[in-house]
Amino acid sequence: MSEVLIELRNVIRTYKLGSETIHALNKVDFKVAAGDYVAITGASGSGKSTLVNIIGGLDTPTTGTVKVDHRNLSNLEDDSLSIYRNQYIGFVFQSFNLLPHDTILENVATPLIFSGVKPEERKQRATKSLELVGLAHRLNHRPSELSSGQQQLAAIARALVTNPKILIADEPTGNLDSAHGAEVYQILQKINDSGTTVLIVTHDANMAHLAGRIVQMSDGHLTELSG
Amino acid sequence: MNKPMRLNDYIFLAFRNVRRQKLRNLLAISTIVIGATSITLMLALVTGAKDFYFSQFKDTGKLEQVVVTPQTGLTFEQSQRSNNCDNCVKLTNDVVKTIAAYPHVTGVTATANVSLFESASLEGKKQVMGVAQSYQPNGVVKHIFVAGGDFKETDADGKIIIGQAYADEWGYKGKYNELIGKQIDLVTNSSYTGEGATLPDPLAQFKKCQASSCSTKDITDQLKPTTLKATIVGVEANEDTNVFVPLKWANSLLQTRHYEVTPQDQTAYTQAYSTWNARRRAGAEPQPKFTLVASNPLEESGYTSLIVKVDNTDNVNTVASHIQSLGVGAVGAKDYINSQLEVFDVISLILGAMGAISLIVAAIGIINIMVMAILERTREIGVLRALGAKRPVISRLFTLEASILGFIGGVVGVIVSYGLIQVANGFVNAQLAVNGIVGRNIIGLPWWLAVAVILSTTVLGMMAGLYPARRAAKLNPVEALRPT
Repeated sequence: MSEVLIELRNVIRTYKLGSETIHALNKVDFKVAAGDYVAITGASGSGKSTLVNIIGGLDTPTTGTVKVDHRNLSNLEDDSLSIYRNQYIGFVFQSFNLLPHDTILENVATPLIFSGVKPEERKQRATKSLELVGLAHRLNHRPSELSSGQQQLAAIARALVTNPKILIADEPTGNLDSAHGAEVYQILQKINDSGTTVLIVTHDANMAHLAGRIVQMSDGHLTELSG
Repeated sequence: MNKPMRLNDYIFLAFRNVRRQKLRNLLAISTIVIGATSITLMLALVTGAKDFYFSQFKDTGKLEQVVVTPQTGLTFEQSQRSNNCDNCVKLTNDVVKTIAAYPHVTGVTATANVSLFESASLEGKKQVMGVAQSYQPNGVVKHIFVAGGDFKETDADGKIIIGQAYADEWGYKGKYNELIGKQIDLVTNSSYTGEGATLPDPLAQFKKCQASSCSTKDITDQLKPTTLKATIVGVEANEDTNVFVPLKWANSLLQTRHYEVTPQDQTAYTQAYSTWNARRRAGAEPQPKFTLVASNPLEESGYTSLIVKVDNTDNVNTVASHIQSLGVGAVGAKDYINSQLEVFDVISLILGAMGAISLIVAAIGIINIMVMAILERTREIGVLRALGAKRPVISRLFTLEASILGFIGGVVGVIVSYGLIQVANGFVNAQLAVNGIVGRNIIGLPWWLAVAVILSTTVLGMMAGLYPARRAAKLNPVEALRPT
């Protein structure tokens, strides 16, 4: 196993739901090596999204430690977590989450705004990223003018524009038909091949099997299935 | 490497977001426009009125004047009226000369009130007259004229400056120039004995007094009003019924005249009468010799007031104190004007506060719209946070958006106000032109007011945006991204 990039130790994440305490993650230990392609499966509410949100710096654990690239996320302030998300993580969401009023190019360039990149460079890098997913001909279209598959490809291009170490895709094919889904998986594979660590949350067993490693979440517990 | 977000990007993103919600933001901006316009118009109106009021004093030289009165301790306002004072120091020519020699004094004119005229008639139209004022036309007293001009220094009898109100009553509104050179009839009161008055026959009076004990001076009941002619040389811009005559004429008008038999003449007459009586009244009865005696009223009782011209407004109070050492009253207009101008400041404050209420309403509108925008853009905020936007970035973006709404509202409000002011000035100028005043834009929009209004609405927008921006920044990204 190559160098450990992500390491969760004894991570607990609880939520209050009225008077009840829900354990979204219950004593999770999880290691991911740099360059891994990990599929996280499990039923709805099993804690998959919470896991990737914590790794992605969107959420923080109630207890336990989360280290990414030797950096302890639990110690980071909100501003530092924002920088971490911007520099280390590329997010791909089930519902694409493109900004509807912006063009595809503007959408893809958005993360670069927050790291103070100049407009010319933003345009250049966003164009390159869109070329990578095969959307170079759609730069100036709005998301609504694209098919759902193309929208997800644009979202992947946005996730890649900062050259993140980790790409987190939460149900990336959940809103896509199988043809478009397959296209997305091919791209994710390509990205992983280029060295980026990919974490993918999916219900789809077929898709999960494309990943080199499969883990399953069940009631906040993580079980290694393969890899 | 992580640099902070660029300022240009903040501005660009904020403007872009404002553009997206066109209708809603237009409504928010329109409330600010209304507030900004109302506050601008109210303050412009008061500022204009204040400037106009001030210019009246400035144009008539009152800022550099000290009014000297026989009475001491008068306010400027009181000094403008005629005040009787029996035991006061008289304002004689000697006093005038003394004051004229003071440092910083560049001119002195004496004034006297003439309360002799009952009415003035022009072309058969009679108007009641009040007190006429007289002064030496040496440039110290200045008027704002709608037609004609001041007296010449040599002008004396039969010259008059009338107030606009008289001209209007005579039907010369808007054509004041036609009045210049016209003669009016001034009718005095019936006790008038000054120049031009027809005094009763002294002999008849003498005979009457021989029959019953009386004095030849006692002729009041036999006097009749006298009609004097006066040529209009100027029409003064003033709503008041002011009338001015040259001081030289006032001196002739104010003098009291009567016939007297001097003691020598009385002795001569008594002798002649005794002789005539001793000769059994042969021949014509001797008559006493009558001498017309006229007083010099202004030298005897002093002038009503003196107007002293000072080289600089700043020296007005110094000169006034200096003059007061003569035992007379001396007061500058400066303090009075300042106190009057303070009234405008109070009005500004009241009207400004009223305008501010509309701006506060507009601010609440902005808060409302920004809170709604956050609810609508929750997902977007979540996405931006996921992509690396820090909390302060989100907060600044929303604050900036609200500031932009305020800024646009302020700019549009000032532009709308400017337009309305032009229209209003058009009407007011037309009205003033009828009254002979040309080219006065009474309502002014000074640059500082425009800048202040735009700044205020921008700051107001920013402040209104603070709470919504805080809310937006505090959103939990996971919850913001959760599918609804």
